[in-house]
Amino acid sequence: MSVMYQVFSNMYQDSVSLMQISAKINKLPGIEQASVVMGTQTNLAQLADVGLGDDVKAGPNDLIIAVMGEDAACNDAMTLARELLNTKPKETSNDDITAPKLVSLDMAWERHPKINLALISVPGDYAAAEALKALQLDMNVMLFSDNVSLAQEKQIKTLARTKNRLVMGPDCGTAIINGLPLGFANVVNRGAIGVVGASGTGVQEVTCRVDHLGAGISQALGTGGHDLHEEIGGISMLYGLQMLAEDPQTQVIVLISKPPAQGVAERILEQARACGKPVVVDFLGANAADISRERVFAATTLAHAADLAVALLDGKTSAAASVENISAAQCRDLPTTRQDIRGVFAGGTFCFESQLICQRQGFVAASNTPVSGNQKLADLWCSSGHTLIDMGDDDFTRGKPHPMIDPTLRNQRIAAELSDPKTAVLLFDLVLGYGAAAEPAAELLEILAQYPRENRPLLVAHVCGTEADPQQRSRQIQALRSAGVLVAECNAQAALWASQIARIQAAKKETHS
Amino acid sequence: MHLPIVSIGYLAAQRLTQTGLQLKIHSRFQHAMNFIMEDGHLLTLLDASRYPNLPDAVRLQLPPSWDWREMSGKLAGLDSADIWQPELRLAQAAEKPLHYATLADELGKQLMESDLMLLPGGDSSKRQPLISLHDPLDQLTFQVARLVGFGRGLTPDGDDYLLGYLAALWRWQEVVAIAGHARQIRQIIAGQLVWTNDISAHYLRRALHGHFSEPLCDLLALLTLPASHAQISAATQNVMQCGASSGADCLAGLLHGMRTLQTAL
Repeated sequence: MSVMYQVFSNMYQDSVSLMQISAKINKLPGIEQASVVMGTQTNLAQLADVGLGDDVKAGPNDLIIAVMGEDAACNDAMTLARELLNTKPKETSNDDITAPKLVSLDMAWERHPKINLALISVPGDYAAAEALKALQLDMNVMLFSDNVSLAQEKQIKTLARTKNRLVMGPDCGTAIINGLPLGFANVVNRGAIGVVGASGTGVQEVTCRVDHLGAGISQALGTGGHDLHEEIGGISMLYGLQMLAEDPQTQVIVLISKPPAQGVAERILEQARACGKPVVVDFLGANAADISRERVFAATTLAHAADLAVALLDGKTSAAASVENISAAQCRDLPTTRQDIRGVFAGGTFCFESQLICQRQGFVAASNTPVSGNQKLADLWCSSGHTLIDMGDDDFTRGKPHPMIDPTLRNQRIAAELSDPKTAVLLFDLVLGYGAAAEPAAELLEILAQYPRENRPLLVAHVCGTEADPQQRSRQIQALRSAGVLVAECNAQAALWASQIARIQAAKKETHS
Repeated sequence: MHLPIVSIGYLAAQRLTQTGLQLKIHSRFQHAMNFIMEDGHLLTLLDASRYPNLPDAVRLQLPPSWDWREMSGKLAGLDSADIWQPELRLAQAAEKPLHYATLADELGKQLMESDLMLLPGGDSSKRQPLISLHDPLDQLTFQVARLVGFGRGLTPDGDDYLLGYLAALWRWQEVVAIAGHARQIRQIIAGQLVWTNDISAHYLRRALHGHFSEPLCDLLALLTLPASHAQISAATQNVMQCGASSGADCLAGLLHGMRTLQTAL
């Protein structure tokens, strides 16, 4: 029988790791007893008492591993201990000392009674039931899940209203609660602008732009895309608006949605007028005159909504517009055969807004998600004329990851548009933040490198993100610019630039003919 | 890599606003990292998904595979982060500590590896903490010395036990019947911090001044409230979640403190 010990000077390991090491070496055959302790005076005395070494020299910040047993076993134990000390602990290897895993909302609530928000991301068939359970526990709900029927959505939101709780979703992909990005969201400064949005990328665009302008976000609440449907009646947007109106940190409110049902829009705008705080409204494509009223300001684009909100925070009632345009010189090398705008988007609202802007500029386009006045794309997989595609729509994402997570399919479509000799300008977005691809520009640049600049359309992009995002906005922009991409400040500017390129090309063609 | 801040402990928040703050890396773990400041206090960065608020900690939203021993990043959102600040009210003499039986039951249900006898009548092969309200100074000093730095874990069992004991006494520290004992035990522990490691000494030093983790503060707040069994049970579980056996040792110390309070009040 021998005793062996080793002192690891200034060695700190968390207690779970120390217990694991102790348990493992104690179980080795031939080991009588083992001890893994910090080298405090009391522990040194204890080691001596139990015969594990009466001459150990160690201080309180040193780790001691001491074993008693057969010679070979002691050697093996010390070797194993050294290995374990230099190995990453397994994530879930607390042996017998872990608490039971939380497998229901009830268990989570019992363990953490202060919880007041449940984020539900389960298949749509089960989502409504989980949301109702969360509401019964007095939690607010973020329902990431899609494929919840309007009838179920109505049931969930009606219950939420009676319990004074907010339901974000179904199909709510973006929120920022108390500074914490949830779902697809960006790392933005905290501040005094609150956002309620029925569109995930719309909320991302506004919150990021507010951040760029040096202001910050108090809360960004999603409602899900169907909330402003007549059948739902905008329950979540109305309640979100009320919450922000009552929130002392929020000074200016921004509402974002595709155009709601008329009756719903009127209810929202009336509550906005009466809420006592300035409210900026961007119902994409809606007539500004129908929106504006006392303390309610109509925005023409997502970026304008952010600009206006920041201006209002500064006591102004209007925001300066960007005047940067595309010049004919920038299109000099484009052959006149290149006439079409081709937009390939990961963000659905970016596609929607771009269609509106191009249309206002006189370019009616085809799309898988056409805005009023545009046409439905005849063949999803083949663009024709001006075409703007939402690659995040169900058409492309059924059974596949969203292009913000995995841009492979989107990049393939970009390659196809680059190959088309009719493409004058390729318009695309790059969405950053939590949930988005780690290096969204990298793979795209490999594709672009296959197309020499003199033999490809002009490329116009917009990067939705912030400096604090894991992907870092400036780094992505720099990468795109180095590959010859024109990077706009916002989605609206990118769409405007694409329209300007198409107009210049059309004028060139007219001159030649 | 930018690391968004989820919340900041109230003491960390004060520290981070100081100009010319000098931080040196003290220790790195997979999910936590300690900086040491010039005055010997630690400032800790924690994975928010794994750790609750601590007075001196900054909780961060970290990628799942994050490992502080190999990675580093830049804190994001420092100016606008939520600051955690507990509100622990001092108790009146007429208020008795409640829920002892529920707490003891929760501790008894969980099998814990500790080098201490965690409840009276427990495993007699373990060291039994023997601290009593009316112990003379030398006896009390001897008992504390048997515990400081004693046992397994990064924060040794004895330290965690003493921290729990201090926590129990904290809310009643101004009640005449307990004030003298509370003051005495704080003085003794303060004098013996050199006998344990830096990290454990830091938590004990903070406890001497009433600074505890969020789960412990939550539980202390409930001790004078007629809370439901489920609430007490959940709060107790949250305390026991800390570390490997630290939470259980701390809860055992807290129960010991409650027994002392019952004797005094």
